[in-house]
Formats: sequence, C-alpha cells, structure tokens
Amino acid sequence: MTDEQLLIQLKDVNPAALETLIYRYHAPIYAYISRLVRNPHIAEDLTQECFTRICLAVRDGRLPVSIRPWIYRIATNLCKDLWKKASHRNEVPTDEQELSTKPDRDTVSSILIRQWEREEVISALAQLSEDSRQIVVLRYYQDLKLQEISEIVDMPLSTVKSKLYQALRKMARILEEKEVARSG
Amino acid sequence: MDEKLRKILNELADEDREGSDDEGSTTSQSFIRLGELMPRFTAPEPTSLHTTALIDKLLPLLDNKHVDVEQGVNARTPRFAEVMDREGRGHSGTTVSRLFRLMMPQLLILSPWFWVGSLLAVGISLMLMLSPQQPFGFAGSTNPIVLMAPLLSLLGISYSCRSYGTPMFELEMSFPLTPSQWLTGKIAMILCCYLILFALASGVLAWNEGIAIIPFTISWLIPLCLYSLLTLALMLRFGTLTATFTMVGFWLMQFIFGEGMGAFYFLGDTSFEQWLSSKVVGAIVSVVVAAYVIFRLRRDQGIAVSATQTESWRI
Amino acid sequence: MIHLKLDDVTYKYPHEGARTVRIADLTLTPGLYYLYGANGSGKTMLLKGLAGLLTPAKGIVKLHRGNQALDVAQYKWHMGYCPQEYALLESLTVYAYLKYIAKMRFIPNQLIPSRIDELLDTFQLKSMARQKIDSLSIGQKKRILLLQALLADPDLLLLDEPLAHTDLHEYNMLSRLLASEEGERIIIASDHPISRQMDISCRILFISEGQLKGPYDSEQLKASLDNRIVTCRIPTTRWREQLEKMSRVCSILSLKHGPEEVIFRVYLHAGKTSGSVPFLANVEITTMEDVYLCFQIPSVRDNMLR
Repeated sequence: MTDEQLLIQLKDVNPAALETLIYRYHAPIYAYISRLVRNPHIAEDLTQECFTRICLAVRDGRLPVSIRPWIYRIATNLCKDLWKKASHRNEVPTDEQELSTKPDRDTVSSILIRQWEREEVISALAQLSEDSRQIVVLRYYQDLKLQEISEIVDMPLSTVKSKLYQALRKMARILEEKEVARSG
Repeated sequence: MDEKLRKILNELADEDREGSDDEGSTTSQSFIRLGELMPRFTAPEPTSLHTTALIDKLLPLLDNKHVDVEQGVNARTPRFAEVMDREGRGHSGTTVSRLFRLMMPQLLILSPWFWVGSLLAVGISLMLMLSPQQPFGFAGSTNPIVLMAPLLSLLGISYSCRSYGTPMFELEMSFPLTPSQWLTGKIAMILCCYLILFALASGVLAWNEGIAIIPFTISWLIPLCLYSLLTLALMLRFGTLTATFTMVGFWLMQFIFGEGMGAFYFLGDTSFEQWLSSKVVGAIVSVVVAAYVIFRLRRDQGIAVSATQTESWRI
Repeated sequence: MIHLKLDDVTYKYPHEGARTVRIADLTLTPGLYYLYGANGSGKTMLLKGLAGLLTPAKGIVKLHRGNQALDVAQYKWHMGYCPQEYALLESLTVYAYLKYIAKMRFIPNQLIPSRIDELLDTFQLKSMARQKIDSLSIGQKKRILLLQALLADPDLLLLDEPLAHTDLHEYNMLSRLLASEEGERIIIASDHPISRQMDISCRILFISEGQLKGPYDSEQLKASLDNRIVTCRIPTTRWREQLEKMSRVCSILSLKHGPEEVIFRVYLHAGKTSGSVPFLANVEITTMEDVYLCFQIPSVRDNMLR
C-alpha cells in the first residue's frame, strides 16, 4: 500500500490503516529523533508523543496532503520544543547505544575505532546550527527528498539546498581538520 | 566515496559552483572522508515488540473520542447529561408544579434573617392592632397592618430581585428561563409568603376584634399589589436600587401626608372617608402598571443585556 | 454528533451603533477553541450572543445534537456560560450558590448533591464548600464560575476569559481541565495569550476587524512561525536609529526596556534570517502570544494562513 492509499483509508479512521502507518514509520521516526536528541529515553518518549499526536489528528480528521513530511514535521517540532527548554539545553547528551553491528568478526580495536569515528561525526553534527543539523539528518540518514525536507523545516527549496551544502562542507572541513591535527 | 553522499552532492551541484569562490579548501578529498565517517552514526532501531506495544497503546485513542489517554477506565461511565435526561429535567409537569420549580430555588438565596424580619414585622403589627390603645397615635384612618403590607412587599421584592442588572442576572439569563419566568419565580415566593402572613393576621383580627374581614383584606391587599407592581416596573426601568429608594420614599410620603392626598392615599383603612375611591384608583393604577410590566418583559424576551448595562458592569 | 452551526450571523449590542461581530459561516465540532481578539474586538459580545443574551442582528445559530437542530432558546438546556464578571451571590456559601444554580438549571433534585461534590473535587474546592463566597480569593471565585458552567454537563460551553486573574497553578490546572473536557463538548474560551506558553494543542478562533476567523490549528499556526520569531538586543543609545532599518527585515511584536539595552521580539519577514537583523539575534520558540500578535498584522497573517 502506498502512502496515498493509506491516507485515503485514514480518512475513514480505519484502525488497520493506522496500524500500517505505525509499522511503517515507527523505526525511521525513532531513528530520526534518536539522532537529534541522543538520549534513548527522551527519544522514546518523543516518539510516542509524536504518534499520539498523529493518532489524535487522524481521529479528529485533521489530515495532511502527504503523510511522510507531515509525520517528520511533527517529530521535528517535538525535538525543537525540547531544545528550547532551558533544562534540556544544559543537559549533557547521553548516548548509551551499543555498537552491535557485526561484532563477531570485528576485533576490539576496530570496534573502538568505529566508536571513535562515530563520536567524530556526532561532534561535527553538533557544531552545525539546529536547522542545518535537521536537514543533514533528514537528507542523509532518513533519505528524504529535498522537496519534502523543505516542507518539513518550512524553508524554500533553495534555502534547504544551500544549507545542506554548507552544512556538509562544514562537517567535511571539521573532520578533515581533526584528521590533520591527529596525524600532524 | 560513499554512494549516498555522492548522490546528495550531485543534487547540490549548483550550490557548489556558487559557494566555492571564497573557500576552495573543501576538496573532494575531505568529502570522501566525510562519506566514510557518516555511516558510522548508526541509530538504534525499535524491536517489533516495541512497535506492537506502541500500537496497543495508541489504537484505543481512535475508538474512544471521549477518553483521555491516562484515564481510559472511565470510558463506560455515562455522561452526567445522559443521566439527567433519563431522570427527566423539568421540561414538563402541570402549571402548578412548574411554578413550584421556579419558586423553590429562591428559598436558597433568601437569608434566614429575611424570614425572621418579616415574621417579626407582621407579628408586631398584629400586636399593635390587638393592644387596647395605639401607642404611636396612628392617624385614625390607617392601621399597622395596612401600613406594613406594602412596605414589606416592596422590600421583599427588591431583596429577592437584587441580582437584576448585575452580572448574576446575566448569568441567570443564560439558564433555560425566560425573563418573565425568572421574575415569576422571584416574586411568587415573596408574594405567596406575605399574602399568607397577612391573611392569617386578618383572620386573627376578624376573630378577635370582630373586624369585617373582606373590606379589611381589600385595605391591605390593594396597596400590597400596587407597591409590588410599581417596584417591579421601576426596577425594570431604572434598576433595583432606584426602585427601592423611590418606593420607600413614596411610602413615607403617603404616610406623612395621609388623608390629605385624597383618593391617591392608598394606605387608608375602612375608616378613611374616601376608602372606596382610593382603593378603586389603586386597583386601576395596579392594572396599568401590570400591563407595563408584562409589555416590558415581552420586549426583553431573549434580550437581557443592553450595551449600557454591560459597560457599567465593567468597572 | 454535536455541532454548532452559524450561518452569516451578525451580533451587535442593541443600543450601540458601530461595533459588530460577523461570522460568515462557521461549523464547530466538539473540541476546545480559544477565542482571541484585541480588547473591544467583540469577544464578549460573541459569547453573550451564543449564550442567548443577545439576539443576532442577522443570521441563524443552530446547535445540532444528533438529529435535532436547536435554536438558542432551545439549546440553553445544553449550554453552559461563564461570564467574565463575577456573577456570584457573595453572601451565600459556595455550596448554596451552586445548589441554587443547579436548581435554576432544572437539574433533578436527587442528582444535585453528588454532582456538586464531584465537581468541587475536580476543581479542588471541596474544603471551601461551606465558606461564604465573599471570603474567597479571586482565583477561587473564578474557579466557582467555571464550575457552575459545567454543572449541567453542557454540550456547548462558553467561557469568557476563564483563565484571567488566576495564578500559575490555577492556570495550569484549569487549562489542563479544559483540554480534558474537550472530547465531549464544544468549548469556546476567550483568552489573552499573555506570555504564557500554551503547550496544549487546541484550535483557535480570531476576531479581527469585526470578523470571526478560523478555526485554526494551534500547532500549525505555531509551526508557520517557526524560525521566524527572533529576539534581538540593541543598546539603549542606538535603538531609535535602528528602528527603520529593522522595519525592513522584520515586524516588531514587543519590546522590553532594560537598563542598557532594548530587547525586541520580532517576526522575521519571509526570506530573512536571523543574520539579517542588525545586532545579536536569537531564534525563539514560538509562543501563542507570538501567534496572537502576528495575527494582528495583516501581511504576516496572510503568510501564516498560506
């Protein structure tokens, strides 16, 4: 079933359609929020809140034109709200996620390198502005179309493009500088 | 280079041309490094168990429009409105039972002191009538009961309608009541009670002193009606406070000038020379004022608030 | 299913010429609607009209309950109204006052005590039931007014500034309560979104230029202002000369005078970023107050509703 077909069924407040929607989007939304807030507990809460809002909107017949940007937009706004809360701003982001990818073949040192490289990416991302970070995550990790991103972050397509390019360039430079500093 | 990043950079090819004039330092080399590192930022994935749990939590939201997420248990308790509809909400009934329903709430807002005061006033008037000599030297043509009846009823009505022209009245007008029903409830309670009290007093006098009961009753009944209706009319026109003061003033004037007012002296008893003509005038004026009150209420049906009132309430 | 339908309705006070509120065509389904508008824009007039205290100068108002369509005189049985002024009988106890209202609303006698108890509990007023109303605080009186409107469990609840003059605790309690009530009834509450950030999602009606507009989704309105609301700080000595420059990039929503600097809260015009503003600018989280202020500016409003 495509998102469009799903939307038609959601208009009739069909529980099966909502179930399909949650199955389809739970993992990507959770991943998206996790990448933005980097605290698994908060990410879980926000994900649940995000789907609660979707559910209530479906119940009340407040449906969007297209599903994917809508859901990401709700998730994005939830994260933004969180950042704006002063209490969270001072919190040190915790990231307890374990690296579980292919552990059998990896040696300890390669795991450590991966872990370390991961930290590099995260710290480079953290140096971006809030909206640039969102755009990078949406485009690269969530694999959304630029047009959809422009809807989600409510910016013109051209702005999204230039922000994305600038952000990637900045990240590349940061990572390169680190590399140079390390080797030199 | 990472395939994904290459694709993205291709999409952004025109950005590259625009922005590359100042800093050409971002070489494709550094993008290759970025492409290697970016996939390292993995994110956790929820298990299907997580997803099912989430669905179980959320689906009930769809079915029950009335249920809050946290208090799903209350889902099956019927709304109070439904219970009320089942029990019947006073739409129907005989005229008397409807009148009764309009009157009863008034008991709640009349203070006990009001009843005590009324009883005392009637009791004292009766004692004065029964005592052999009249201590305050009342003019020969009146008596305490006839004096007290209009005064008490005007005060009682003012007290009972004290919310008129206040925000409370506005609130009462949002109830399923018309202005005339509102007024009926208020004055019926007061008038019923005074009529009973004064009728009892008349009975006592008739039995004890041998006074002819019908002329005596007419003596106090007509001023009681006249004063009540005048108070109402003035209240609807000028507000409660003005009505009360004017009517008390009018009562004092009648008391002071007494028989000098001729047929317009309404507080006389049977010994007054122009008793009959004064009572007829009183009755006619009562009817005219009653007509005005009814007209006024008809006009105000549904329009309980005027702009001037609204503004003056907002201090 | 309950819904309120207004068809080209105009309200005006009988003795006052100029001021009117016009509602072109509005259908409200159960939910919480906040009614916003500048002082004197006619919020109170609209609510009084819906409460049956004013007859519309024009148009038809109907409350649909299932397959019944009731006009104002008939729907008063299913409507609760909380006026802005203290419509209380101060000399009575809380309980006597509520009992009086319940009886005047023809709630069957046998149901009255339990209903009052239940609501007193909800509004955290149980301990004050036997107190005289004139001994209560302003916030407590406000709660009683709100409580009386709910006594007969109405389908249409009209609240004229129910949250004004409440302290923060009461504000939170009442706004949460309103949000929890919204499933079963239509609630229209006029309010001033002053600096308190409303985090409950709700729908919004605006009165501007004598017209009722909406309903809009609060989240969508807020989202339409995301990244547009910015505060910037300008030294006191220089803010006047900067005004003109600023008005080209943004619309000023509010300003606060500090000892050394003036803090502006502004809406960035489309296409501008926080970098376009002279001096240091911070992107702020959008509050309902911003939404409210932005809505008053016609060009910004058009952008929001786009």
